[in-house]
Amino acid sequence: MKRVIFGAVSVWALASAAVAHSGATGVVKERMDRFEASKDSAKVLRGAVKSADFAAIEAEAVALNAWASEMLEYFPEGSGGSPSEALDTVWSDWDGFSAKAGDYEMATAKLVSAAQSQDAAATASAFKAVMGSCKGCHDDYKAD
Amino acid sequence: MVWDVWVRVGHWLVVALIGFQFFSGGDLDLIDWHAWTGIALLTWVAFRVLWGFVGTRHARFSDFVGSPAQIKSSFRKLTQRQHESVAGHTHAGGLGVIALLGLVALLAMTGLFATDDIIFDGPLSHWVDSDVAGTVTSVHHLLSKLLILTIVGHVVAIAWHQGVMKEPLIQGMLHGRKAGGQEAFGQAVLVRGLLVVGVCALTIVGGLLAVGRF
Repeated sequence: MKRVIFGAVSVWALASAAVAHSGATGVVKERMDRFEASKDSAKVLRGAVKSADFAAIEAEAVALNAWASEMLEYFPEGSGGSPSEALDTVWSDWDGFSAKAGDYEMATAKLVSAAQSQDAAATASAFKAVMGSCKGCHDDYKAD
Repeated sequence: MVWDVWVRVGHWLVVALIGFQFFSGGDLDLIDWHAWTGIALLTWVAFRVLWGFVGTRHARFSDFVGSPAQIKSSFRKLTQRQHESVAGHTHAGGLGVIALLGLVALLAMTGLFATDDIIFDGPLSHWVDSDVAGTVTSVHHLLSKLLILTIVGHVVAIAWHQGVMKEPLIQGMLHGRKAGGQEAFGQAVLVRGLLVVGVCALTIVGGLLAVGRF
């Protein structure tokens, strides 16, 4: 039975692969790639925070901070809808969305300075705040 | 005895593990634990499916899986508070077992491919496109809601049996004894279960450690 279920899930997953985000183009594709890169940064950061590798933390935090400061430019009016996972609330509540982007920029900036100060406790809590700002924005502006 | 030790310990272990899953799923600090608990649950489902064929009498699917007509009649008896003289699961209860097993299996399997789009990727998510992982994750979330509903249904049914129909099912799932269960389980059941658990754990945990990314 398990094999049947697994087979069904695989077939369905492959089928949806053909129609899902693979069709993203232009600015939607660009921002998806940037978010994907941010996830990779987050993973590097988690390891670096654990091992207190402040140089690596700073490098990734700088990258995230750069993305945070440019992010809004990647959400022009009318770039929602499938295959994007951005909810319409991004544009209907642009002020709220911009505020979240600002929070993200501040949180990543704090992580940069915490890494520069080589303070392990401050770095760990700043990293947590960055992750929290990702989640906080996803909850309101990204499709589940 | 009606319920052997594997059925009983398994049942309450799963209660604890699933309880943990519901609050660890959305927690960035607990997400790695969530993944490993999911793998443990997948191992348990695999065990329970095999045990449904090679386990003790009332643990076997053949003992409680009914036809649609049998299930319907079993539900009718339940609403009319008619006791069914079966030692193991009724056919209505059997449907619940299959639904719960199936949902936990699907949840554990979709979880392997899921992503939280922040920091977590399931150990097999590198096998699929990131957009597929996103879709699988949505399904994972949907299934979790279905599981809650099914668990609520299960608990309500047990409360009905226990409170209204005065059948001590909860005690039965604790000590294993129920009316009509004359069998005694020996060491062989313990050993056979251990063997099946070992095979499942080795295959699933070993396989995932070999091909998965943690």
